[in-house]
Amino acid sequence: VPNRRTLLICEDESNLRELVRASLGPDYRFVEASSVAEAEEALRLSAPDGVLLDLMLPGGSGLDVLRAIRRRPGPRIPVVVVSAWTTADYRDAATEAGADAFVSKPFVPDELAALVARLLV
Amino acid sequence: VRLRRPTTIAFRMLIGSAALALVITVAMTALVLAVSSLRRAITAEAKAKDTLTAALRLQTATGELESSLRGFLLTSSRNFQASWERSLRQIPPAERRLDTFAADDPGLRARVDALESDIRVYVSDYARPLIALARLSPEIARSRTASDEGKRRSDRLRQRFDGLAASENARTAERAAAVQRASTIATGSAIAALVFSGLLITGIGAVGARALSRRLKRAAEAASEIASGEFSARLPEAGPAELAELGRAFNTMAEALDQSRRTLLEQNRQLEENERRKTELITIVSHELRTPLAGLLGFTNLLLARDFDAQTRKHYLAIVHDESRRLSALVDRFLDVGRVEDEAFELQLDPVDLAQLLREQSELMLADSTRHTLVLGLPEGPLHVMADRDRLAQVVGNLIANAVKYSPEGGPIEIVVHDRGDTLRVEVVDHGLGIPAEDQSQIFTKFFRGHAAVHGIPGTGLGLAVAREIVEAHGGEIGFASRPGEGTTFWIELARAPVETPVF
Repeated sequence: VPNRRTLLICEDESNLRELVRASLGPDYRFVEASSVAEAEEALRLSAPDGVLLDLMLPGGSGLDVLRAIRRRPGPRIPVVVVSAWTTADYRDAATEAGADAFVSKPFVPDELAALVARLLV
Repeated sequence: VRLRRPTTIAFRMLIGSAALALVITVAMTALVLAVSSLRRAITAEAKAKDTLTAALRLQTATGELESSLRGFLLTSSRNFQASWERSLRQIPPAERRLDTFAADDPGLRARVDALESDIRVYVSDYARPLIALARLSPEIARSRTASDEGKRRSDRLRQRFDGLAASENARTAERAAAVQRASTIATGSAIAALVFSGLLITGIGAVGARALSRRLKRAAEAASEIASGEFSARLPEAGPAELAELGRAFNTMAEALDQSRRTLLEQNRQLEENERRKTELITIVSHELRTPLAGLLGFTNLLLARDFDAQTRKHYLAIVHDESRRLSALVDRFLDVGRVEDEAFELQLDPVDLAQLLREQSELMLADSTRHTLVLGLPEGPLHVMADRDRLAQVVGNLIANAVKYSPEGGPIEIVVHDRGDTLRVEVVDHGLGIPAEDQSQIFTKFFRGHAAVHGIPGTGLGLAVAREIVEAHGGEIGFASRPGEGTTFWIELARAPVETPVF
C-alpha cells in the first residue's frame, strides 16, 4: 500500500504490541519501542505520523515521552495513550501532558482502529 | 532532693491548734496571776486601813488618858479619876487589836512595840507617880504639871503615833498603787490574750484555707484541661502529704491517659495506613489484571470479528493461552498473599539442590530481557538446603525478577552462593536504580512500593513481604544492602541439608 502512515507503538508487553498491530491492520507501518530509551531513539530516527503510548514503561513514565513529543518542533502529531491505569487522575494527567485520546486496557480492536483513523485524517 | 517526709494537713492543723492552746494557756495564766495579785493587793490595803483604825483607837484612848490625868491634877475631882481609870482599862484591848495587825509585819511590830513601851513608861513612870503625889499634895503635883516633863512625854507619844500613821498611810497609798497596777495588768493580759488568740485562729484558718483552696482550684483546672484534650496538664507533687498524694495520683492518671491516647493515635494511624495500602492494592491488582485481560479480550475479539489464515489464528490462540496462564499465575500470587497474611501456608521440607534451583529461576527470569546478562558464581561441592522447593523457587524468582525490574538500563545480574559452613548464603546483585534511603526501612512492608511507580516499574508491593514470610518460616534470614544509583544486593541465608539425605 503506498503512502502508508507510520505509527510508533510504545508498549513493554510484546503481546500487546502485536495486538495493536493486528487491530490496526496493514494500512499502517509500525515502529515499536519497549522502553523510554527505545521510544526516544525511535522518535529521533523515524518521524512517526502518530503515537500509541503506554503509561508505565521501563525507565520512566509514558508521560515523559509525551512531553518530549510535545516539545519537538514541527507539526503536532496525534498521540493516543493506552493504559491499564484507568482512573480519572491518570486521564487528567495524560490530557494535561498533551494526549489527544485516552484508551483504557482492555480495548476493543475495531474501536482503536476507528479512533486512530479519525485522528490521522 | 527532698529528704524530709511531707507533713499532712491533719498534722499541720494539730500543730497549729497546739500552738493556739499554748498561747491561750500562757495568757490565761498571766490573767490568773494578775487577778490573784490584785486580790492580795486589795487584802493588804484593807489590812493597812484596819491597822490605822486600831492605831487611831489606841491614840484616842491615850489622849483621853492624858486629858483625864490633867483634869484630875487641876481639880482633884473624883470624876476625872474615874475617867482616867476607864481610859486606862481601854488601852490594853486597843493594844491587843493593834498587835494582831502587827503580828506578821516585823517593821510595824517594831513601831508598835516602841509605842506600847512608851505608853507603859508614860503610865508607870509619870502618870501613876503623879496621881499618887496629887493625893498627898495637890499643889506640888499641879506645879509638876506645869513643868516640861508632861509636855515632853505627851509630845513623844504623839510623835510615835504620827510616825505610825504616816508609815501606814504611805503603805496604804503604795498598796493602792499596787492594786491599780495589778488591775491594769490583769485587764491588759485578758485583752491581749483575747486579741492574740483571735488573730491566731483567724490567721491559721485563713492561711490554711487559702493554700488548700488554691491547690484544689488548680486540680480542678488541670482536670478541665485534660477533659478538653490538653494532656500535658500536671499538678505539683510538693506540699502537704494529702495534696502531694493527690498530685501524684493525678499525674499518674494523666500520664496513663496520655499514653493510651498516643497508643490509640498510633493504632489509628496504622489502620489508616493499612486502609490506604489496601486501596492502593486494589488499584494495583486491577492494573495487573488488566494487562493479560487486554491480550485475552483483544485477541478473542479479533478472532471472532475478522478472518485470519490458520497460521495466524494459531499464533493468536497461543498468545491467548499464554495470557490466560499469566492471569492464572497472577491469581495464584494474590491467593498466596492471602495465605501468608493468614499464616496458613504449610512448608513441605525436603533437601533442595540450590545450584539447580538458581539456574532454573535465573534462566526463567532473564529469558525476556536482552539487556541483562547473568553472572552465576557457585562454589564447588553439593549446595543442598532443607526447604520447600516451590516456595524457595518463588523467593529466588522474586529476587531475580526484582533485580531485572529495578535495573531498566540493563547490565549484569550476579547470583552468588557463599558457603558459610552450616548455612548457605545466596546473593542477588544488580547495578540498577538502588533503593532510596527513605524507602529502605519499609522495603519488606506489604504493599509498599516506594519510588517504584515514579520509575514506571510495575508490581504489587507484595513480593518481598511474601519472600520474608517464606524465608523466616524456613528459619532463615533475608536482608539487603543498597546504594541509590549504584544498585542493590538482596541475600537470603538458609541452613544446609544433612549430607547423607537423598536429594530430589
